Amino acid sequence: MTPALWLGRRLTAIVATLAVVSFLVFAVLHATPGSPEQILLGSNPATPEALAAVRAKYHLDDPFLSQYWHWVTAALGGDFGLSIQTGQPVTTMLGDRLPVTVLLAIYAGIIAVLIGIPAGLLAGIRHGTASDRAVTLMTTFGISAPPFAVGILLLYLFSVALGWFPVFGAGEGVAGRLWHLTLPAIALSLTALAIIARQTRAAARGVYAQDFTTFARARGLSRRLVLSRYALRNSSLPAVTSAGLVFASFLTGAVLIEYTFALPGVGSLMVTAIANKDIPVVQAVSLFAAAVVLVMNLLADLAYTAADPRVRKAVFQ
Amino acid sequence: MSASKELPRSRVYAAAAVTLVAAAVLASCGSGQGSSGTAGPNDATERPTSDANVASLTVGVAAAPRSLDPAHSFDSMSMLVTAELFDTLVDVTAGNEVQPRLAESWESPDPLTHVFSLRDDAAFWDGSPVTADDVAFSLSRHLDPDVASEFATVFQSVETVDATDEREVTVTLRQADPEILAKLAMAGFVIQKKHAEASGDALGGPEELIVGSGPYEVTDYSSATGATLERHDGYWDEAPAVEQLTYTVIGDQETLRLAMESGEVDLTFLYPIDSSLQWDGLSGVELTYFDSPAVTTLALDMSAPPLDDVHVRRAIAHAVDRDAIIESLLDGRARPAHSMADPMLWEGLAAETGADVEGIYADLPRYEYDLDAARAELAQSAHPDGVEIEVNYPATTPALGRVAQVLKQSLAEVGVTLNLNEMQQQEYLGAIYGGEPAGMVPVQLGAISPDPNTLLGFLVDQTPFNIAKYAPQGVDDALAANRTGSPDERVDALTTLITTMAEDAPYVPLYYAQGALATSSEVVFAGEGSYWELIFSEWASKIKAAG
Repeated sequence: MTPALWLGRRLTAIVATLAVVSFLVFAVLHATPGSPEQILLGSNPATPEALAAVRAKYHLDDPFLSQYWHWVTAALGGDFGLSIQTGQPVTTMLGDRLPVTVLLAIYAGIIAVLIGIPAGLLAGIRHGTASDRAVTLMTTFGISAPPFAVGILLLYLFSVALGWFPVFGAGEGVAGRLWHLTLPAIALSLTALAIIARQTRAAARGVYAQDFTTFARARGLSRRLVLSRYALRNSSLPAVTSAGLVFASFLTGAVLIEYTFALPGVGSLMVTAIANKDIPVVQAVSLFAAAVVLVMNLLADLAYTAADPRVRKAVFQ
Repeated sequence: MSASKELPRSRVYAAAAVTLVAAAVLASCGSGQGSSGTAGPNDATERPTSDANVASLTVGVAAAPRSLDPAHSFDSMSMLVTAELFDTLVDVTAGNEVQPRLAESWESPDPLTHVFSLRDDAAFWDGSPVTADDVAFSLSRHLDPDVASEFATVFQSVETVDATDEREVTVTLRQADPEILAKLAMAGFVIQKKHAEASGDALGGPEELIVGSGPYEVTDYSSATGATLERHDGYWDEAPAVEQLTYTVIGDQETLRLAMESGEVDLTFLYPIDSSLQWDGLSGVELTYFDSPAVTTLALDMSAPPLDDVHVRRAIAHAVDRDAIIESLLDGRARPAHSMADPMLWEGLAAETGADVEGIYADLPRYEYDLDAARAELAQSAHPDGVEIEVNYPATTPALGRVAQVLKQSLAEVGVTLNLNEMQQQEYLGAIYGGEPAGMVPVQLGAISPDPNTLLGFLVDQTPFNIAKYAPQGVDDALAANRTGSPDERVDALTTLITTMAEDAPYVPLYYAQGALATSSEVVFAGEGSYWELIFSEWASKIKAAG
């Protein structure tokens, strides 16, 4: 199969999955109890006419399939409708929140990879020694510590006690954003860092025990060369695949961190929208989340194929 | 182990552990000095102020305003912002004294008509004058079903609002309303008609914003991040000390506390207090507690069995241990409530008539915490073998959930089984206002005017606020006397109403929670620190730099 055909099939599969996801989310939302117009009208009682007017505006009384069809035809044209809660276009709301979320995800991803992979390598190569145990301890902590608890701890230590970082908000300007997002990125990256380190450690241990590595060392190649060309390249592939999924989870599942650090991100938008049964927003964000996961999967597969000639041969044969 | 003089290791460790735990417990007790116990009307100690300009003030809020349009943002959080943007015709104090604002003077030729004369120096932010047309437009739209204003129920006694002259507005009522001035003071925000008509549906949103004449102008607004307000230098009244107000959204109360401690947030409202606060020991932060007439209550929907039986309702009333709830769930920061009308609401009426408010409340039927009395009441009811009641409460107000759980325990001992359902806010509202019998509803109801009738008026009539669907018998005379009578007649009428309500027990009032204003030590709230100045009210002009 040629690369183009393979890519084409994958992209078709992505589109089909997105369609199924959007239908399922719509169905589940429809089945949950509650009336979105009630939140729109606030916690004070509204007249039945007011409620009816809101329901009519958002087609909430139409039959289920008709509502879905209405949404799909608009979405295909790029119009994801108006949020029931704020009346703003959903694309604008999502667009307002994406920069913070994307920057946070990239930042956390860089921390997780830049620390996780070398730590895993170190642990795998020096298997059984003190440094291996230290890294294992760190990864156990990283996997078990809940992100929001770590977040509050970091806040107290670095923002209040030491005053090095701001307590909340996303900041303005590139430098301001990076400064504000440092603590959230650290808190968010811990779990992923631990997972990546563990995977790299397992792979590195295997690679370092292989004959070709022993031969390279015996040949007298510098340690830097042995580590980068042989150990790193061969043991980072599992980490790359999981990094793709991890990045996807950062984009969509960082809601606890967003809440702790008062960041206006996509995760908290989603949670509020679900609580208020804001159907257009939930649909749009779920589609976004599904698309991100699927695309990241595709990219991880492509990376794997590009990096490992054996896989390349198997896939494109 | 040899019999040496050395203590065994395990003993040493145990002793050390006990000492550490004891130290931790003592430390946490000590940091709460002066925090619990019954508090006075407010704990504001006089702090010196100066007239210096305050360049900016960052206000922490739990959520951004839902809209800048007052018709679509009737909740205490949103109104922290909207109350700064607009003027009202009049202002009202804790003692129910009415003060001029946009209206210089007013008169009432008959009980159904109120005529206001507007001042001529009030201007909107763009410089255009506030006209009678703007006032009439702003108030009438709350009566318009197309606008679906959240203030529609508040203004239900109003028939029309007209601009009867260049500087004159006439409010015509469909029935006499002794609280109409207080209602106008709270909800009668004046917006610019020209801008509102041009903006259409987008009025109050992040693009169109809104135009008012208040002490602050909104320059930026986002439902995600908050709002930025700049001082309006053409304001007709004394300019406030704070130049820029930045409202920033911080949903997590712990993060908010840390932000206040680090100085990034200068001010926040903790209202209502629904849990033990760890704010008392914060350095650089001043706390002002205030009593609020907002009552947390159990609304018992009388439209369906078993709550249609007064003995079941009284049984529930006897099984509520208010003191324990206040001590353990609220850290003592609330007053027990035995009536839906808070005694503090009588201040103005008592000053006018010399009524003995304490005596009135002492004579009210009271349901003390007594499980035997509860069982006796249930035995007299139509369901002596026990009843099962649905309780819906919102996840967003944990205090109500905790109260429900406490009640579940004590009521189980009496034979009343509560089925607790935690639900999202909009589902909870749907259950209350949806038309189905709502069972027992823990709810927090606020006060709109400093008058005992502020809540009562909604609860004895067929209004949506009347969750219990209470329709008292034999009180028509009292209702009429309350609306149209002299102050002395109103006192008698209100006494009759609260007594009847206590006897029928459609609502079991639990407590009146306090609120707190937390400010950085660099600023001072220079008002009295009363609920009427802080909640649903323009508060920012009273912030001054610390002296």
